[in-house]
Amino acid sequence: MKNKIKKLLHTTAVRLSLKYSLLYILILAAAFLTLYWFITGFVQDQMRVNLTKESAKVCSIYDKGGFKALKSYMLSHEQFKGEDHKYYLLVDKNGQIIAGDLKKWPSGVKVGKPVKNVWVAEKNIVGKVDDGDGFWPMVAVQLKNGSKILIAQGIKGTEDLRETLFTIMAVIFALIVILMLTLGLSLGKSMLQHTNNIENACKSIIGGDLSKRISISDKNDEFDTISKHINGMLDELERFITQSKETSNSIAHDLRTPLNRIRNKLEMILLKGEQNTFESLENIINDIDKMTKMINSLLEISQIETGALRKNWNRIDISKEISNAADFYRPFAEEKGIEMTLKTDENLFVFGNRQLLSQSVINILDNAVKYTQKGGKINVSTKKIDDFITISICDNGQGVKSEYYDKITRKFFRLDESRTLEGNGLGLSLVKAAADLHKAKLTFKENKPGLCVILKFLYDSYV
Amino acid sequence: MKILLIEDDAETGKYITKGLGENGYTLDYAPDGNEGLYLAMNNSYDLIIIDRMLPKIDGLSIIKMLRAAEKSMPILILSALGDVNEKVEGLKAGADDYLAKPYAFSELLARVEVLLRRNKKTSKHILQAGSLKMNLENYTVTRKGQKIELKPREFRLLEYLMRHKGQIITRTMLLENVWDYNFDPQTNVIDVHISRLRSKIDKGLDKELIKTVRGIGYKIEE
Repeated sequence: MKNKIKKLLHTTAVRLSLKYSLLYILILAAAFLTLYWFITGFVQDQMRVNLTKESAKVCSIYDKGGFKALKSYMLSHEQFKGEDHKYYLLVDKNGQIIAGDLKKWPSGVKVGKPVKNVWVAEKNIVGKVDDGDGFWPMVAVQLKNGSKILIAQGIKGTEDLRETLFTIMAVIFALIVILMLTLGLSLGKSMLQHTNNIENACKSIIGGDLSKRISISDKNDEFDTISKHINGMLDELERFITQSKETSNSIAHDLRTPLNRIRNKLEMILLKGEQNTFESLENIINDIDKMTKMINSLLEISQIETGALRKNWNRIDISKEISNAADFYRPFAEEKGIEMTLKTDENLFVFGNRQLLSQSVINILDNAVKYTQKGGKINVSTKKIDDFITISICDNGQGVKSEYYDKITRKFFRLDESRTLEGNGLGLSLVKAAADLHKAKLTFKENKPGLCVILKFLYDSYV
Repeated sequence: MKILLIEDDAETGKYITKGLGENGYTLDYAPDGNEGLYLAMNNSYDLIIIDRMLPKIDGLSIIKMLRAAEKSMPILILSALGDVNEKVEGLKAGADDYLAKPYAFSELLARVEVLLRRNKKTSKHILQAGSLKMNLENYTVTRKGQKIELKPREFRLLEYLMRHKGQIITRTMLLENVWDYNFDPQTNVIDVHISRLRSKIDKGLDKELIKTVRGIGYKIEE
């Protein structure tokens, strides 16, 4: 659980949202401070104007009604003291306090000067008031009899304003952080779900379960796209690994049988002495040759597959090679009572490795002869259609079910499960590898009855 | 007949020396490229058998140097590198034949014999073995005066066997020299070709001209 939370907090989404919320807060703080600065400036200005007006009013009250009127104005004001947070202090020309809300004349306040902010402590105010310690804006005027009057503005209003502003700011900041964090966490959680999904699949695969795949949601988001690609990659890898496993199994199996035979025969020779030794030894050599042949074929196929045979390519008259190959195999087919016909256009050129191409055609012919019964027919034809040369070798033998078309080019795949027919199941694998190397297409088609093997090459038009 | 064997694997070296020795050849053995090149340059050999990959100087370089020094003895490459390209490169460098490992000793022996007699190659237009005559100028074959019709490939097959009269010719050698196929077909098709050729040239006669050498190949007796 603790680990999970730690993991969640480490997600990019959470980190990013925290970074963003910090950035937002900084920007908002700057905005707020500017606003605060403007508002307080405005309020101060208003206060100054207000105080200047009040001082003029006080002067005019004195001018009209004299000292008495002024005093009663101040007293009347004192009755709702705190309403507009104005404070007065009247002193005579000697500085003795006559009336007012302040206990003493604040130092530094001179008559006739503009409004000034002066420190006022709460204890210097008469009675209990809302306004507390702080720099109060104040102004002083001198009356005609020489006494002075001080008008000060309590700052509770501005204090309240500031407090409200800061509270709003704090609330907004908190909201931003909460919002961003929720957003980040939910995003992080969904990302974690995706990555956990991928991670679990990977762990299973590392653990040996190659069939495990990443589950894909129906959202079709970027994770699904990546997952699909990864799954595709895994499919290909699994296919490849399964195939090479199968190949090595087949190698082991196909070597074990002749090795066992060799061992048995050698044992017999040891036990029986000289009897039939010559024949047994000959059989042993045959078995060894078969194994060597198989290993050579495998090596050759892997060399073709790795592209090592790309050197020494030439422009090859494939029609000539086909007819040579057909001539090479015809006596063998005829021996089996199979007719082999050849129909080929002349001067068909492909660019490639002559030996490999001949070998491919011969391997196909070999299969055709092998899987066609007596009285059957094999048609070999070569045609040029547009820019392609199509070689087709069709027999009317037992054929191959179309669901095996993909499999027959696999190494060691053999249609006859009992493995009684000659061959090692590598013939068509070589054809396939050679076709791929030459960028030719190898396809199979039903011949009703029988099989057509078709090789399609790009015509080499270079003259 | 003196043969130089340049081969880094001592076991193989011993085996070939013994095998060829039993067949009447004298062998000098060099375990690396340096010694091999030295021996080849300072002695006269009838044949050199050389491994493709050797310590110090590799096989192909030795062949090139020998050919540059106008040493014209036949050279046979033995190599674990069996693909078509390797063979082409070996022959390009100046070798006369190429045999990929693993090989049958009979195959090596057959090739050695053919190479050793290569120098005595006749430029005659008529090849003869017993009552069989081959005219290479007008492409006619007769046996006991009787004309025999052969297809072009059958003619080449017979010609090759006749040229190496008295020598064992392996199936691989026939594939390489008559069909120019450097690979092993899945099925042994050569035997069918030989039996067809036989049926044509031995028709109505008791004596079989082309002999089968069991497990190795064919031979036309002298």
